[in-house]
Amino acid sequence: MNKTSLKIFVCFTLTSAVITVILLCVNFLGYSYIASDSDGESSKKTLALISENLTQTGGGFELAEGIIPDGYWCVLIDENGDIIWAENKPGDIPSHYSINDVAKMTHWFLNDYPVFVRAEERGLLVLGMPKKAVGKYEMIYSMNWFRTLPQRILKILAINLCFAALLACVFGFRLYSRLRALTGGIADLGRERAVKLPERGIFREISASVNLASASIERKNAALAARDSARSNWISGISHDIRTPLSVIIGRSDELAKSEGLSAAERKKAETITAQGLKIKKLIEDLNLISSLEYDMQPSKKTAVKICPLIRRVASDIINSGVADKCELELDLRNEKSTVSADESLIERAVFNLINNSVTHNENGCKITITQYEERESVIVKIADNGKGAPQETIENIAEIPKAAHGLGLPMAYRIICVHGGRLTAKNDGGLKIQIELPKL
Amino acid sequence: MKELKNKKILIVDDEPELLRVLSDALYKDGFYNIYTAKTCAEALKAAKEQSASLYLLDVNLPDGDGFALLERLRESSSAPAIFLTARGEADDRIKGLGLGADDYIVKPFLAKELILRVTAVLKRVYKIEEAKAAFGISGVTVDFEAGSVSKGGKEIPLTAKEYILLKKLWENKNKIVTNDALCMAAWGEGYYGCENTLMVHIRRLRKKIELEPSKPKHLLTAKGLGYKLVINDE
Repeated sequence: MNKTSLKIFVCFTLTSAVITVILLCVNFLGYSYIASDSDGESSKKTLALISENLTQTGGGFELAEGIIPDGYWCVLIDENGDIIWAENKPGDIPSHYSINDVAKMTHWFLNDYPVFVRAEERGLLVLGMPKKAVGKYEMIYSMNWFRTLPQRILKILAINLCFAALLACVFGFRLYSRLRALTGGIADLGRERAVKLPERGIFREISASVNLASASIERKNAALAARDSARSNWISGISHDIRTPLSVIIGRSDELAKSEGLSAAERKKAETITAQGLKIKKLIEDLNLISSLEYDMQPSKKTAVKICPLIRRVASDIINSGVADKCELELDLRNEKSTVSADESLIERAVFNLINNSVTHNENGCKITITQYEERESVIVKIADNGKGAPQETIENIAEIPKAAHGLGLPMAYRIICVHGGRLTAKNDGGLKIQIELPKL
Repeated sequence: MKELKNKKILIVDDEPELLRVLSDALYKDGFYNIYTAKTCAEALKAAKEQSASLYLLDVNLPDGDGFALLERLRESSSAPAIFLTARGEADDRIKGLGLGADDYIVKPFLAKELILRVTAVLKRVYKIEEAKAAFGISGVTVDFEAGSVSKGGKEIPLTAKEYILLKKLWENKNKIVTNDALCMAAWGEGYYGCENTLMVHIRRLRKKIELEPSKPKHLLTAKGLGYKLVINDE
């Protein structure tokens, strides 16, 4: 599973849950704000105010001006049900009340006027509001309701939380799958693989940008490859063209070198021409190989190569050619069945270069030991001599193709092993010690 | 060998100077029946007039390539062909595709190599055996025609495998022949694990051709690599 996307997904879900909780709290406060109504409360306060300010005078009652708000009215009913004091009393309010009348109006309305009642010693003080000024609803809750209220609130909260998490998961998963495609695409972009993301949804623009970047990388790579192959083709073309005239030169000088009509000194000169011509031939071959290896071209004809017979063949060829007369070659091939997937002629070239290096760089002879064995998933070949070793500079710049053809052997072997997915290490330790590691087939 | 040198060779190359070099080199070695052509058209015309025993063809010709030319030539002749290529190691067309070529030579080359390959192809295709199918070492004579060894006046026959191994070693005399090459010659593909059997056969061979089999002087072991037949007759 994509780690980044998963992280984003988890963050998204957690954030959603937190947001939900915050929203719930805010909404709860908002609800209380909406539920509170100062008008209903203020009427009760007005009634209290009236009660305080209503004073008994001689034969009646008196209230200061301005205490009863506009459109409100107020009456005082004695214990017989008669109005003994009234202020602003509308005409449709009766002046006598039975017990039933009082019971009916106490909590509700009197002739559609919302009324508030206050029982006093003087009688029943009734404050009336204009018709339709307020609504009145009866609320009755059992004590059990009050006791279980906290639990129920918690329950609702929990349900809310679960629901929020569920929704967040559902939406988050959709987001996640899109993100996964997107991060996958960007990762592929990094590996320079072709990317084609569907351009829809909230990431439409990002997807489009990624696709665009991929297309432009592909275009650039194609241009680079075209340039490389053009260069490579040019090199192979040139070397191709050089070969024919060189054939003539070598052919003729070879002929002269054997000609009996020439003096020994002249024949020697002709021989030199032949030898130099053959040197050019070798340079051309190296040039071609290097130019194809320089661009990390994959070996074109990989087959299953048994490494031990190959080492024996190369070693025998070198001994048979007579250049290694001063050297002693010792082989210790331990896994006869070791097989690698490789271009046989390239690996042969690499092994040849390495053994040949030891032979040619130690004019006074040396002992060359070739060891082969398997280690985990690798085939190891060690080529070690006890000669004077290679210049430190060559070992340090083993990955670089030298500017001149001289000293090409080691870097070429290095490249060949690299394009086969292997490793080559070289070090001086009482002679040159090379280790090749190739993936086992 | 005379029969071999009398074979007609048609050389096709667009570079006149190289044509001269090639024919000079072959002529010097005793191949007198050489004729040349610079283009495919010329080659076809020349081949019609007199049939050749061997074609030496350049891969790149001004009016086509050597492979197409060989196909046309093969319509009326089954003579072997050696290609001259300027492509070097990279020329997979010859190595891999098996376009009917019997061999190829990479330019530039020495006359020695050219003669060697021409002779080898002619010998193989026309089954011309070298007169000398026998050799002698320290009082022992090996006769390949008879498939036997004569040692101290006694005739000892060679087994089929011994014959193959000895022939292979003799063909590469004074050179190391790897175990793999020897096993391949005697047992063919999938020879892996034949080293011990090979050792047994070599031991038997030594008994037949060495005067002191425990101290071989001619059939030597190249430790870890293979064997070498040392003959100091030249």
